Amino acid sequence: MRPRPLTPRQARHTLAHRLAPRVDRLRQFATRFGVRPYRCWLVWTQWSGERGEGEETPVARMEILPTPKVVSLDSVTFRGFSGGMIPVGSMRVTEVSALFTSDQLRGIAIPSSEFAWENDPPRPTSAQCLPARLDDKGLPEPLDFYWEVQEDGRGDNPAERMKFRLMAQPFRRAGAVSWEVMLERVGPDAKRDGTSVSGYDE
Amino acid sequence: MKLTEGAPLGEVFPPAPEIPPLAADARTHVLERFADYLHCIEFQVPDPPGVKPYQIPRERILVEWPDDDQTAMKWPTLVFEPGHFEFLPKGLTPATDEASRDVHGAGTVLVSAYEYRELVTLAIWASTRSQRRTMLAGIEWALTPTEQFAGIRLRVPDYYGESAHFEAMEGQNIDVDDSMRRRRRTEMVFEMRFDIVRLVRMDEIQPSVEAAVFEQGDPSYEELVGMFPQMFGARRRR
Repeated sequence: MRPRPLTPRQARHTLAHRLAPRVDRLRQFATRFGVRPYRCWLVWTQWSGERGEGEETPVARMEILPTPKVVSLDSVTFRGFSGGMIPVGSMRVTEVSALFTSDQLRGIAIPSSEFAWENDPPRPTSAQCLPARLDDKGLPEPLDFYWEVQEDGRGDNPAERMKFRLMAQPFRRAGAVSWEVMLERVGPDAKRDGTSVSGYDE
Repeated sequence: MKLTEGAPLGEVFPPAPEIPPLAADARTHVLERFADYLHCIEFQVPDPPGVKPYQIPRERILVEWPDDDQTAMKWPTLVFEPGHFEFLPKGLTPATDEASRDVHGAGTVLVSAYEYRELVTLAIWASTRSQRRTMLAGIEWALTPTEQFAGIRLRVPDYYGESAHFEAMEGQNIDVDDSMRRRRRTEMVFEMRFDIVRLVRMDEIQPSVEAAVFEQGDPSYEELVGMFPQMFGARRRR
């Protein structure tokens, strides 16, 4: 066989990629068995001024489905500062559906308001269907994007919401038919009911 | 070890009631008062609208690091971080504040021997750029509320109503990796000055002088002068 790269169309029709929907359904078993306690969302918000200025209002909140594997939250430590403790650190999220794209996981594929409305509550494929981004301008002002992780309610209900940012480029682990992402803890978190504190804790 | 001999400060006869000790050191009292003042500042962001006038909750203005490891940092937070302090002697002997006589208890007065001076750092913890700018604007405004002099003077009721002076000296916005994680910090260095005072008991003395007047020819004059031959400054006069 002569070495040659795949065209995008051929890449989408490779065995590994065609298996992705089936693998997602198999991964849903792990969720049903209760071994995926941490739900993950892609969250877009909008500020009334520049990013970080004024009031922060939600734009869209798309859940990563099937629920990925969080490894491991205990690497986020509580570090002491003069004003109190801050959760600091990073963690890895694995077994993210291979049907996502890098732009989607980085938040620069932004859902339209109609799309967000139609996919709230999220459907199994809602986040995966985000419109493609054709330029490289990044996230436009005054939009904001972050990952949010929350326990599924088996303990505290509602559980605290933990805000993360992407720490590294998402990595498509094709052999495992999944994406892996490194997330880093940031703040301030939204309240447990999901409303933003706009940077000002109560 | 032997103490230098002398009358202990505030010892009076007959004995007066005990003076209760202070609950905390002077620095803590003064900084708590400054924190009360900072708590009163109302921060506003006129443009863009959205954020209501905001006061930093008093419990989030700390005069020291928290004791425990349970206090989660909230945004924004202000913390006074300690600096080197010095005691500046006010003279060879303690100075009495006559205006404080009987103010804090009958038969008491405030005595001061030192002025306290410290370069204290106010750490401003903010989440976003906008929040930090707002905090700085409010604090900078509050530092010079009058036209008369730079800095502010605060009365400290918990410290015998003494006045403390604060004057901003320098500062720095510290932008590091954490800034992008919405953890911003600014340091403002203040010079803090106040008198170290001590409440002591006092008793009024009523000095009196008796003068004996003699004619030069009076023989009892020589006899009287002879009674004080060794006193410093006492010389026979003819």
